[in-house]
Amino acid sequence: MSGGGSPGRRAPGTAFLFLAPFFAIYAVFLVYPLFKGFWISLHDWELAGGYREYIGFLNYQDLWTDKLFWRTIRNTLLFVAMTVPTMTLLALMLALAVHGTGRLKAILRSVFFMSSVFSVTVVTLVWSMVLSADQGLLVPLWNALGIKPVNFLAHPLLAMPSIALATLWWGVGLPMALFLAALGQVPQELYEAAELDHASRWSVLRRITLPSIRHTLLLVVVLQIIGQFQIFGQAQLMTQGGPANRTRTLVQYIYDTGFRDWQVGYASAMAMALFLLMFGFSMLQLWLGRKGDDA
Amino acid sequence: MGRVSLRDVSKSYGSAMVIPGVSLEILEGEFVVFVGPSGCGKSTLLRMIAGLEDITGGEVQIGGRPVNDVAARDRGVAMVFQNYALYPHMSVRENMVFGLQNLGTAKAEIAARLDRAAQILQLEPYLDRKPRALSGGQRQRVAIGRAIVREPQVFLFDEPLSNLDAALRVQMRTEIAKLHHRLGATMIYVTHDQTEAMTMADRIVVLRAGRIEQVGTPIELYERPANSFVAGFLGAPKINLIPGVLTAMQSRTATVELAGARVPVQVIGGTEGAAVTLGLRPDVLTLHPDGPIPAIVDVVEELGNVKLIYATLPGGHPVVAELRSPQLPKVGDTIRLALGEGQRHVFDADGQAITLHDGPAT
Repeated sequence: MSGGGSPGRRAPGTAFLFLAPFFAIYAVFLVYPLFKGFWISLHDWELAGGYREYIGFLNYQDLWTDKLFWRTIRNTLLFVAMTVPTMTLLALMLALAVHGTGRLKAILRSVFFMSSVFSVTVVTLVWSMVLSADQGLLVPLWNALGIKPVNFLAHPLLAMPSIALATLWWGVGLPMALFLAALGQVPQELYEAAELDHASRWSVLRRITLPSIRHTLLLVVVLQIIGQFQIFGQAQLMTQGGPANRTRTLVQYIYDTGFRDWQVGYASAMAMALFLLMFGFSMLQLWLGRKGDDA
Repeated sequence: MGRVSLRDVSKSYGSAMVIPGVSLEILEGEFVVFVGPSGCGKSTLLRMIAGLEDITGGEVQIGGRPVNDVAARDRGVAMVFQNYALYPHMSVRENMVFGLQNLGTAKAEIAARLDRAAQILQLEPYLDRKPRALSGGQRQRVAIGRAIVREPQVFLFDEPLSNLDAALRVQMRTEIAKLHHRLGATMIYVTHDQTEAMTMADRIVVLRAGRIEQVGTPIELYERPANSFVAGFLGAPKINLIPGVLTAMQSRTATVELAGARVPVQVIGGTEGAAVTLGLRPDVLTLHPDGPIPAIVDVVEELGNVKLIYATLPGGHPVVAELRSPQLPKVGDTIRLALGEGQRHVFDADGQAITLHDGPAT
């Protein structure tokens, strides 16, 4: 180091050199596609062939009046509302239940995490079989109760909750693991002090555990928002967007528009809308989470 | 109310026995210090009294009530942890009143107790701060304040000063001692620091490997250690424990021969020709041209009012003398040590004291 310079004041060139690989990847795979996507959304742009015509914000105007677009937005928001809070809560409850020592807890930790390693095709296949009205796992139950078997995935009101259920089962492992790691960081002495302070279990959870893991809680919620807004595979494989577009999600619509109908320009405009939506909700969440942090 | 009785209390983890059996009576209002080297079981014993650790065998009573099966929260004890264990997301105020809120104490009562504790510990300016905005000493005071407001029967301290710097430790030591006089509550204090034990305790319990070596007032333990372990643990600088042989036994007097010197001692028991250990506090040794014990000076430490001479006896045994004379030898000098006023402790081959003391313990 040159004489007298503090570590924070070294030549800026060195710092940029170390950051360059990251910036290169960030620029090529994130910044460029984002602007390219926006650029494409300003065109009537076909997937194959060379037809590209600059049309300004016409795609966005079309979006405004596209009933199916709003429908898929509504469906996606509904799905997010169904999954994000439930997933977070469920993961937290599971983590609290299986946190700690003991063979049974160790086994259960693995069991609850295991579903996360399956691919979406396996998960949707399993749940389609469980929920099937013909030979589904639940059919004997309905028969025993004397109820006509319900076809969940074809039911206008139950199809979306069914997809949400499969998603919860599939995705709960990772947030649970994050919560487990956070719970492991809480000093044991705090719980001992709370025990001597006569704190009830509820009081311990509310005043000690939750404040101690709030940054992880925030992380889980943001990750869930980003993840669940992009719901595609489950809806595509379990209901194909049916019945009557009630489970058609935004990404599905983007996929169909771009790769089935070749309207890449219009699909890109929708993708931009999705990006803004996710960005907005994540920022809102981060802002709400930061509010409690005093300096 | 605040009496604590341990009746043959034991603790094992699986097949590993860490506390084979401890019996002890702690009186109401007493300040008792558990002291011992790390791993001696002193913290485990404290945690068993608190209810944070299961009791494998025996019985713990608090205020005359057996509490083996009583949850920690219902034992009427408050504890100050080594790392303070303050709730990081609560302000000082919230930290201190959390326990009272959980107990459903009336708001006016909570406010009164908080004011009193904050005043005693001079915490008033910090009540709205979070623990991370406090210094180590302030955090420690909050931890003590949290215990005070509960008005427990028994205060438990688990090495509360070990994370503080030396100057602050001395200050907090005095503050805790003052607090004890002021509250008059039973306090049990765990430390590995013999100075803390000597300065604060009404009675000291010296533990080794899960067993009580000796219980008594600091001065009793200092002047009449039951064995060489207790003698070696209390007092700074450490007592000189010099191996020798017991000779010239009369009814109460004998001579310990060591390194060519003969030291007259008073003993009860012991056999002629037996190997013994002579225990001489550093301040017993003086410099004298005709002194019986020759030694070569290794290090001289001048501490102002006293000087410490670290030297080696002819047999290779190290020895420390605490001198007040202005004349000091130099490193490498051969000096002659004489025995001044003060107890000459004699321990038998098992380390048990066979010293004969004049009159009752002071």
